[in-house]
Amino acid sequence: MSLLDRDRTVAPPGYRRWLIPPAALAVHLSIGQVYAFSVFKEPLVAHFDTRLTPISVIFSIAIVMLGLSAAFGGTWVERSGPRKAMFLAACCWAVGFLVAALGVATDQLWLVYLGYGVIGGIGLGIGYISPVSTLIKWFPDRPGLATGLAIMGFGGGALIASPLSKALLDAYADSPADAIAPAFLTLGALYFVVMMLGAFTVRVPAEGWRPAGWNPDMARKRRLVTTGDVTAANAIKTRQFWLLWIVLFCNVTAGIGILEQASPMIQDHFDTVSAAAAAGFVGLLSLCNMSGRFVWSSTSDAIGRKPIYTVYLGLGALLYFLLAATGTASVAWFVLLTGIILSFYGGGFATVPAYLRDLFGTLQVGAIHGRLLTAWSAAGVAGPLIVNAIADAQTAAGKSGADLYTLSMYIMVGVLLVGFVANLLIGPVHRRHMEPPEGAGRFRRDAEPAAGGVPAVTAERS
Amino acid sequence: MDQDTSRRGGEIRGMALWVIVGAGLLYGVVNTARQVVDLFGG
Repeated sequence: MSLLDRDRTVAPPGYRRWLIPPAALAVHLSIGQVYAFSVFKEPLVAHFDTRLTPISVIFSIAIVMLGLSAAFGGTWVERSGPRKAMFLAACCWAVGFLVAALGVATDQLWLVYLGYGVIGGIGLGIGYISPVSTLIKWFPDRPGLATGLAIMGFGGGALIASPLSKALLDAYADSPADAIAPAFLTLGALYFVVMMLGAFTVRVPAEGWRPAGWNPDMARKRRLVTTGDVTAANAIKTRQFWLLWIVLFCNVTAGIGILEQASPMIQDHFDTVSAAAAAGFVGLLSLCNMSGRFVWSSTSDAIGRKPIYTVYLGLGALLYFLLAATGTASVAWFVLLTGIILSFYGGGFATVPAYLRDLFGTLQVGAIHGRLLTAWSAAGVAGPLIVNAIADAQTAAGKSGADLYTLSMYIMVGVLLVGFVANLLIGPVHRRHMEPPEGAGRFRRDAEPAAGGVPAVTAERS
Repeated sequence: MDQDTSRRGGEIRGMALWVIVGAGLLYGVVNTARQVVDLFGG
């Protein structure tokens, strides 16, 4: 039996569940480096003596591969357990850096596409979903807090990677363009070690384990919280899955529209903001994105998933409207509005696994989450496309400054309102989609005698 | 390896990871805070 097998990761009795979130954070903080890829853009342009577009393709490939590997690998992750999935993610992420470094050292851009984009992108997708269902099983009483804590790491990864990458580029050579390969190798090695620590720390709870003093019947009183389990194959046949897909797509499209253009956007709105100050704005938005993941997702445990998305999308639309109408009033006002919008963007990402748990049960929540993340890939294309295309059209029409973005912001208000309506339409999943108790048992591979703080509870989700 | 040893090993790794990820996040937040000071003219 391999050390990586799910059976070898079942926690012994009395294992403290608060030792699981740092394992998830170690993986998410590492793969969150992808949000800081822009640090390498200019050095890569100089190194390959090319334009920005071929270099931007690297990031796009990585995000598309994230969505695809999460969607197609979700069922494997669920079956194999978090340790094997984290191990694979660490290998892909590190090998991705290694191959990309080789591409840079030998002046072959296609190797960078293959390494960072394709292989690294697979590591992103598998790593992103690997701890989600484990955390939900360890924290059935607070799933929003648990997944918020882990997914916060993905937002926070850029905060670490950005200054670290700059420091490495400065340290290895006089010109950043000559320091890319050793910087990639260093990052790959560092992330491999941290992710491996996460992989060999993560544990799954024994079948039937539940936190001491927690009564599952209390959690089931909410109308949307299911008492059954739905497989990933059945989940995608439900209306609720696709409504939630639209909700995530709209929320991400609106947030990414600001995130992708943050630096030029604030400089176009205010002549007084320098490039260095704009970098501070980007950093502040990353902080809001990260903290929103933890704060709003934890809040959803108290007020419910549907109400919190009503806030993300409804209040988000109002804030976007205010940004379009009054955003030029002052720098502080602009920063406040965009900061809250970005915190909702992060919150939307972090709350969605708990929303899926409520609707479809815990049986294959990781695999269902993986399939839902295709909304992220689609929004990653749609959001920047809307903002960039409109800014280009406005420039061609002779407009400048804040006028470049006003129309995009009003479109984003509409996008958020579409998501708002989709969220309102989400109702409980019909019982016909749920597995019978013996059917759910077929999918549970970690059936073990219950261990931990309380006596065994046999699955009664029918 | 008995269950006590397994639990102890897991707990030590878990606590060490809390320290590592906490230090990483602190490093990132402090660096970002320095940049934010520039935004408001500090």
